[in-house]
Amino acid sequence: MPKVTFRLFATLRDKYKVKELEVECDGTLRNAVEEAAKKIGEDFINEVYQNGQVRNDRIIMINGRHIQFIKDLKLKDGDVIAIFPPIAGG
Amino acid sequence: MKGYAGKILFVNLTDKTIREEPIDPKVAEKYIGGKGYALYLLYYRYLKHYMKRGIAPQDIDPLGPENVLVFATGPITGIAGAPSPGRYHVMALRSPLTGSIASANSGGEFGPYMKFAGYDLIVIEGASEKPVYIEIVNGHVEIKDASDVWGKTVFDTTRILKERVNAKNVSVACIGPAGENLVLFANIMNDEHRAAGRTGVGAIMGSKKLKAIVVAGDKHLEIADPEGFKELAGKLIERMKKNPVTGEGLPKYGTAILVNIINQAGMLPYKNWQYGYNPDADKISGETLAEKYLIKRRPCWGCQIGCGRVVRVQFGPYQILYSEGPEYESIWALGNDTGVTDLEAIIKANHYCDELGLDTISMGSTIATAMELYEKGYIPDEDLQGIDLKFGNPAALVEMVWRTAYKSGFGRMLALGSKRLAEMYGAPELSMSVKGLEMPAYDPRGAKGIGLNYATANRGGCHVTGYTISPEILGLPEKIDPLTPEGKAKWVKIFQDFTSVVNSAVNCLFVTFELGAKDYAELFNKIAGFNFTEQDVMTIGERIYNLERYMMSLYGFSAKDDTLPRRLTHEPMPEGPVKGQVVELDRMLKEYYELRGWVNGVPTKEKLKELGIEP
Repeated sequence: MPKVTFRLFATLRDKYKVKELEVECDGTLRNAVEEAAKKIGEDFINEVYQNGQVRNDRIIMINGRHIQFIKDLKLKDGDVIAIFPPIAGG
Repeated sequence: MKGYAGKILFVNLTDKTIREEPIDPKVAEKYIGGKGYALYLLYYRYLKHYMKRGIAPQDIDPLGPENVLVFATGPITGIAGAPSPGRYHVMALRSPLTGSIASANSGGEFGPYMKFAGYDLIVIEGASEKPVYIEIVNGHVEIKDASDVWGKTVFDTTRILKERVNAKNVSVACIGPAGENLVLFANIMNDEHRAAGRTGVGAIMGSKKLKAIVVAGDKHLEIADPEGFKELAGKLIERMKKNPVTGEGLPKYGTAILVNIINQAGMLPYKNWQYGYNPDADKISGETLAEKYLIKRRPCWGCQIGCGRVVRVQFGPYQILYSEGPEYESIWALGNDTGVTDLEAIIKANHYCDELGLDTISMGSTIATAMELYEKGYIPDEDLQGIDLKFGNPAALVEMVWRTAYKSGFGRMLALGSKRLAEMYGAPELSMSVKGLEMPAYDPRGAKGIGLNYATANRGGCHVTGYTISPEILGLPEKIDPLTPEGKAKWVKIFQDFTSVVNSAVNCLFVTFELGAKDYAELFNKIAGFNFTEQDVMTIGERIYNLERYMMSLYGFSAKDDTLPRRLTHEPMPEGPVKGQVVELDRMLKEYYELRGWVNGVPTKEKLKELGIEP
């Protein structure tokens, strides 16, 4: 069972009162998100998924790479999943 | 013309003459206002005229009386109810830092109040022998003695000059000691904490002995279609409020919200761009700033977003009871790039930059270059007068800022900017700049498009000329793969052209996280009575970008200058999420020049004709 770390940013930190949490999962993102939701609240699943699909209006990176551009989504021990609400600046 | 104040002011500081002329509707239709109109004047009215008189463009001294400085607003500036209308643009024939066109943009109140005082553009010619300032109150213009404020800080100058005016809507744009002392990256500060930051426009004011411009007035700006504008603006503002970026993220966290995401993407330049990931970046993030130091917000005039920060450091060596910012770029340059992760020291350094009139990006980046030069043995200890200029030393950071403004000790070297500094110490490759302008807070090894933009941005290493970070990292308006060079040329061109329009409007670039060229066309039509289509707006942007590029070519700029520091094209990122990446610049450049219709980095005669720049 790989252990992965979620990092939350911006308004997500305020909402879930946590910056970082570690979960064990079966290697799928879906399972990792569900395990995290058990710890910080069921609504967390809706931060990542909408109608069963990964939300396009969130910025989700695994080890710094946007999820849209990762070919093999299998999670490994030590992977870092960073989740941001829509943000910008300059 | 509706939407405009209607007049351009020309002030000659050599012979102290003042004249004005109306805004030309034909020029406005081709160049709008702001940056575009200013470039039109600089080229057709000055550069061409100089050339006719036999003065070679490359002989124009950026710090000589022949340089011309323009403060420019546009039809959206100062229009109440329009999207984020609080900005103005500054242009000059040549930048003392880069030798290219000088160009900078600022918010606050100055732009709108300049129009309320009666002028869309203020053109400064010549140079005064003694310190002066220009006071413009409801169309009445005076050149006044500034000897009693020469030497004073930005905050003192602003307060004193404001108190002398008994009118509504007073605003001051001025230089601090850095501009007076001709620090090559000195800025122009308005409304205490707002900066026309880049390319050394403050040094140009200093060379003209112009301490400040004071504007005040209550001129009513007429709108071509008031009802239509009201309806349109209502819809646009509604969209901005609903947009999570302009409606929530920027108001709540300011621009510094980017620290964490850019770091997570492995492209937050760390220790003079040696690395792209800082494990301690959260200590200096927008979230930390909001949690520990934020007191309130200070929006620019009429802005619906309100990203400006007001902060306080309550205790300790870097105590400061009122300051504004620091913005993302400033936190990065003064902090991450120098390896300093003490946010209180960064706030203090940022405050000194505002108080003394220094561009935070060039300041931080130049200190970071000096730190790498020192750690690698290029700068001998005796040059530093006891200061331990190692990466991560917060005290050295704060000390070096004021020393630069006053050219004290080693500050005299820093005042030249990173390019000249690194050259003088024999390691030019350690200056992280393009065309002499220090690059901002995104390492293009992690987002290739921004690398192409840095290389081709007319004013040099600049992010806001063509902000491809928006699609490459932030997913706006759509997500594109940051690590591929494929297709980036098209994005860079679109962003550079569109941004030229925004800087000519002049309103805030941040509204473009929601609004597009079609919205701008409608705004121009309702406010000023134009008949623009979306395509017209993009063509105007392309015209402005090409005119600027053509002027640069007359100074000797060409494809040879469209480069990146060797570190980015030849040194693979050593660690972090984008480990092993370099920027494949040549590939992207070839495609970019083809799209632009440029040969050797310069617009062809056909291109100039097509855009109506030259017959």
